[in-house]
Amino acid sequence: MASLVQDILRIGENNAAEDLTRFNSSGVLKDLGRVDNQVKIKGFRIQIDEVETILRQSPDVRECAVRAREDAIGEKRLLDRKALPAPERKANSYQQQSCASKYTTAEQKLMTIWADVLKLEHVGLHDNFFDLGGDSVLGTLILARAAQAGLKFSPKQLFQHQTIAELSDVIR
Amino acid sequence: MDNYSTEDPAETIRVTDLADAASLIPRLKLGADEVHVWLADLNQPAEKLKPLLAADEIARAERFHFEKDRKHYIVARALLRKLLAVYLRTTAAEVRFDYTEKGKPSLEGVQNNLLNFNLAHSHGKALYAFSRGRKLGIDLEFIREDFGGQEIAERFFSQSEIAALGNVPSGLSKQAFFNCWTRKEAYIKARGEGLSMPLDVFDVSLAPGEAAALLRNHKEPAEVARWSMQSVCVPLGYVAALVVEGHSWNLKRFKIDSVV
Repeated sequence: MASLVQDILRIGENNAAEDLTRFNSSGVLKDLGRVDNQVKIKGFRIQIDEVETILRQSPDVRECAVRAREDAIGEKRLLDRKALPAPERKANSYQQQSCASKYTTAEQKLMTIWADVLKLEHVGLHDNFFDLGGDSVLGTLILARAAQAGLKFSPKQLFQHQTIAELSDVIR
Repeated sequence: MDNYSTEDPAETIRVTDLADAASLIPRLKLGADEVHVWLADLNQPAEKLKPLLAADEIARAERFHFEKDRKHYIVARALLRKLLAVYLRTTAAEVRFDYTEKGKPSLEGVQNNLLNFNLAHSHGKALYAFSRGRKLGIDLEFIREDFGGQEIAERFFSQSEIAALGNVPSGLSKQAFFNCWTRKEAYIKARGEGLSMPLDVFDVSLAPGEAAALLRNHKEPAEVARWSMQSVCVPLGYVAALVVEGHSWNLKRFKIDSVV
């Protein structure tokens, strides 16, 4: 996470308005025209896409949208992103919803249980239980704790679906 | 029959000795009424042993997130190959594994008729068991200090085992839990079942000091007479159990010490 923050801070050091090019679904580079998808924050020019790209590189981020809070600049330059509300901390705001819905309840519960049983700070959706050092005793403990939390699956299911992503698919 | 004791009559073999299979063969003669059990320290130079592994084993090793797990897996596999090579009078790289649907490794093809084996590893130690013609299962567990054995027991052990655990003084409950776990695991491994076999359809002994035994199988009562079970002498902090088909066999133990 520290390097992610450093990467984001490094943005703006050499920014200029650029031609926006993207790969379309068939892999062809497509010129989207010159896009001023920039904001100026405290004198630094920030390329919004770059912030988003780097945020998406974190395994904890599935999808994100970035906008600047200064309305004057934001309204003028953020194109379709202006539909986004300002990131206020109130219940049911867009950001809170999107944050909470990044993982299903089952996925969240399983990530907590796995991390706890494997004594790791964090377990990702696609981490393999056995690759993380899991064995039959720890697997059985996970089964017991998951059942306690209302998530029932068999030892066989854990041995066949060794990541939280796969497992939560089959117990859904 | 119970082999749980504090003295250690195991014959020590160095890893380097394993390279000289010819000199080991007479010492490692495995008779039909014998079971050989090897205890190995997995803190050995993994990189040196890695070339003995097959491509699928190396790929598996590379998937581990933690270096310690990767090294222990490589050493455990390489030592298994070396030991099998001695018993089969072949080379470690020539050993071919086969896996049952439930994941139990065995030998491929003609090699499978010559030797039965099973292995377990935990926290830097491995146990290997070998026989000729008798099915067997072995399990080894490190007694984890902060471990929720109670949660597992309540959900997976049999009623009489839960009751027996409740009668063990609290200072011995961890030992009792792992006695129970290793005996159950060794039994289902001997049968060739994975953890898909329900753990609560059979009872094992578990109280510290009590001989290891398969007490009852509620679904298949004849099973009790079919197998013999005993604990295996392992270093302090570990528990191990061995289940072998039939009776009147003799256990011979060996150990491979750490070289680092």
